[in-house]
Amino acid sequence: MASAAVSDPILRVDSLVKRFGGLKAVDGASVSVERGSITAVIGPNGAGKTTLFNLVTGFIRPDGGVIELDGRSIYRHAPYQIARCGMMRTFQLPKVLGAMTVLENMLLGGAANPGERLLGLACHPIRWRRRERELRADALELLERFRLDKHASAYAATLSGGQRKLLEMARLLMSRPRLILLDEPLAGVHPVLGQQLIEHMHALRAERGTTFLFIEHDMETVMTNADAIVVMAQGRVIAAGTPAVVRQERKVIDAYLGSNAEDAS
Amino acid sequence: MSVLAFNLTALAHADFWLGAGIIAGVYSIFTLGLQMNVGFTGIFNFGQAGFMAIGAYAMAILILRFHWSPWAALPVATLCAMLAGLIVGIPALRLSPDYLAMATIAGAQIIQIVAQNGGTFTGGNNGLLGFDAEWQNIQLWMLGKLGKVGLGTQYALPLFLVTWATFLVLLGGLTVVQRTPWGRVLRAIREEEDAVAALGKNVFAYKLQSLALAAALGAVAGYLLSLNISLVYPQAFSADFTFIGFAGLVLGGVGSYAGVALGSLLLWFVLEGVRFVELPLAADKVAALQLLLVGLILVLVMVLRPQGILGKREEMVIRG
Repeated sequence: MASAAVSDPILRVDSLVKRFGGLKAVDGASVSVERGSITAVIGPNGAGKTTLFNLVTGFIRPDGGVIELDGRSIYRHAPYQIARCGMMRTFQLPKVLGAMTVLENMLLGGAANPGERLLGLACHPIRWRRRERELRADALELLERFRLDKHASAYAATLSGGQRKLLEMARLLMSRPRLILLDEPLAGVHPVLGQQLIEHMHALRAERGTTFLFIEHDMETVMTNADAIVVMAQGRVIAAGTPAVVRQERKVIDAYLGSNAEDAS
Repeated sequence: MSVLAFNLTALAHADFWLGAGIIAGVYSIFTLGLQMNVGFTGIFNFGQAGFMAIGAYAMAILILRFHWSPWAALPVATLCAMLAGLIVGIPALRLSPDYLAMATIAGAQIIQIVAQNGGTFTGGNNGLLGFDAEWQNIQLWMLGKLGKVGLGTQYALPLFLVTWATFLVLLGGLTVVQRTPWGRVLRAIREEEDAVAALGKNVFAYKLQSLALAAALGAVAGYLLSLNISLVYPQAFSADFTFIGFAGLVLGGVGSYAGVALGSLLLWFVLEGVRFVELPLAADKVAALQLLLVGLILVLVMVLRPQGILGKREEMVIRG
């Protein structure tokens, strides 16, 4: 199934289970994500896509299964530990910090800052200031790249929905994750900003070798941008492979694409 | 004759205001801790009076029962209060904000009840006396110095000066720390802790640090309160202390360390000042009027300036 086509998985999920009371939101899902790929997760509402993201990133505790990042188990690790391992995520409704400036949001994304620890503040006053200056330079560079530099000193609450998604993505790039999970990056975003976001995804993969896993409902975006597609329905992965392969799968057409699928392709 | 009478009343008044100033200063230091928790981390610590009690009792017990020097007792007592912060925080900080508030109130109640029932070790309801010999010496020395500028008979002045000097030092330190990356993480947690966790920060550890530091600030307030009344007794650390602290916090502005002093001063000068107004009322009615006025001021501030005197409207992000 999913793992068949993947030769070098950065993320491997096997038989993952999550129950909410009597409901099995994720019911034995297995996914492998190829290193350096752009992989899309699709599926009807309630298929368990966001729950899968929450489980993999530690925001919800799984009830069974395997989660490995680079061959190391991260099963039931805390979200901050998983983020530090190099897998970071965005949220369906971007969680930017509205009462902080855009630049402060960015600086918060910086890793290995001795100034974020009381001991580091007290013992390494020169080192943390130097690190802070480095992070500030990185932040301004990323903001320029994401065309948010004009808003650097504005409260993040003043940004539009699309700009918030861009900021959330730029912010996590501060700590150079190897795998980025985007939960519906285009939902509620102005098409121009959405297109920018997609372009950033391709550019970052080319420059940094970053792997992307993203949930998206827009079929055209998925088919034209993803190297691999994972299809979920009722808490399981029902198909996985290249867009061309997935498009032909009868199960996918039945469960998700519906009778219009042939017309759309 | 009439000149002398006037001078005497003037002196009595100065003494009175110094007394109110000391209480306001103690509350200001106490509320700095609440500000760190509520205003800058978004955790609802309703047990601050308990941490104040731990600090004051630990100091008095170390001096009286173990014959420590106050200079050794003060830092160790502060560590005791921080430890209490961790002991309360490790289970309670896993709760949602409203339950956290309840759990911290309960923690403070437990501390107060233990102090009441600690027998001779804690002095029971009568409390502990005689821990402030060293302070009496310092006070005399300070009054001697003050005598040279004609203030030698202002007996409350030394504690007033020490209290507000302590406040200013702490205010300066906290303001600096708040502007560091560490303070930035706290402010981010206040707003949206999942976002902070998603960026690889250990939110729980930051909350614990915030609570332990607030407990230390509570302990410092506890020392000064004890010196003011020369007594450490359970009723001094009732939950009311925390509630009045919260009123000062809201008045001064959530998310402003300097606002804490303004809020506490306003609160206490209104509370104490009402006594000076000649009213055709019985004493208990005047006492009720004090609280009524404080309530009225709180309502007015909330209507006219919901962010408090020094709060920032853009940063009103406390989750309920």
